[in-house]
Amino acid sequence: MKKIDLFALTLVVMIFISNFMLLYTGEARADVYLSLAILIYYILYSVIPPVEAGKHKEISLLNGGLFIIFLVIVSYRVYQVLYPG
Amino acid sequence: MESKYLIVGLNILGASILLGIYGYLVNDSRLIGVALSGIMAGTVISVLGWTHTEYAVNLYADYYRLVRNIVIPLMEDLGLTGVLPSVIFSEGKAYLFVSPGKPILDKISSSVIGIDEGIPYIAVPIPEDLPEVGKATRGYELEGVLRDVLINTYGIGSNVEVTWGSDIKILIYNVPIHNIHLSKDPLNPVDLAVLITAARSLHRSLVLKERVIRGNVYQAILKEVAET
Repeated sequence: MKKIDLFALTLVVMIFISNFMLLYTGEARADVYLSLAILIYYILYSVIPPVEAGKHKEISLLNGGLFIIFLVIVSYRVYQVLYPG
Repeated sequence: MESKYLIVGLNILGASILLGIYGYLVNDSRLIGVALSGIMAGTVISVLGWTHTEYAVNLYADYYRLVRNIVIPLMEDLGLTGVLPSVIFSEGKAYLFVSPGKPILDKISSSVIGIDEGIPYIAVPIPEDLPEVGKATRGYELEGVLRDVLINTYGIGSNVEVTWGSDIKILIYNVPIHNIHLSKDPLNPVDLAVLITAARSLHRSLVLKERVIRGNVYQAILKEVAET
């Protein structure tokens, strides 16, 4: 199986499982679903890199964009813990 | 561009956006969460489909068909058509060597085509700028390296199997038809890819002792070249 096939299939299956588990536990915070999906993407990207690193500008932009989104979500949650209400 | 991923990605993206809008209208944050993760997955798969390029297999197959019109008559003139290639390491450099005789280590670095004591030979230096291959010392390590290079990079087949012994038996499964066709030529790309990758990974002089093609399964038997 080609790496890109394995990557895409594993990503979809793992995001499906994580969404199912979050729904099952009754998680109501939308950003948790997204941050877990981003985390799954990064883990998979490091384990099964679908493209050669640094070869595609679009993938680098995507990685940067997702990292910023993840950072914003985490910062927001940390802010909420530090300054509740 | 790989259109199947682009289509699948855009479909996931579209369905997730609709789910997100519905979740927003019914004020269900869980649906919005699922939609957000779907939007992310759809975007990732679309971008992968947009950027991923298939290896230029067809271009190189056609190029090879042109080049073989030079290579095959040359080998016929030298009487080397039935001779399987070997990879010889000499003074730290690797050479692709084709000759019915034993490798002449001290002479192969001086000329590409020659006749030594009436025995013709071709000794082509293997370029040093080929992509790095992992080093292997055992069968399972070699299998991993071959899978990475032959399957993932060159797309020669779907799986590779190595049987390690005094000879090294390499099986490649589901080799596409055009690769099988090319494999019947002397000095063909599949033989060379298998031989050169294995020799570079093991850093040993190897000869392609036997090559059998059954259906879409390619089998090569490699043997270590005795030092002369």
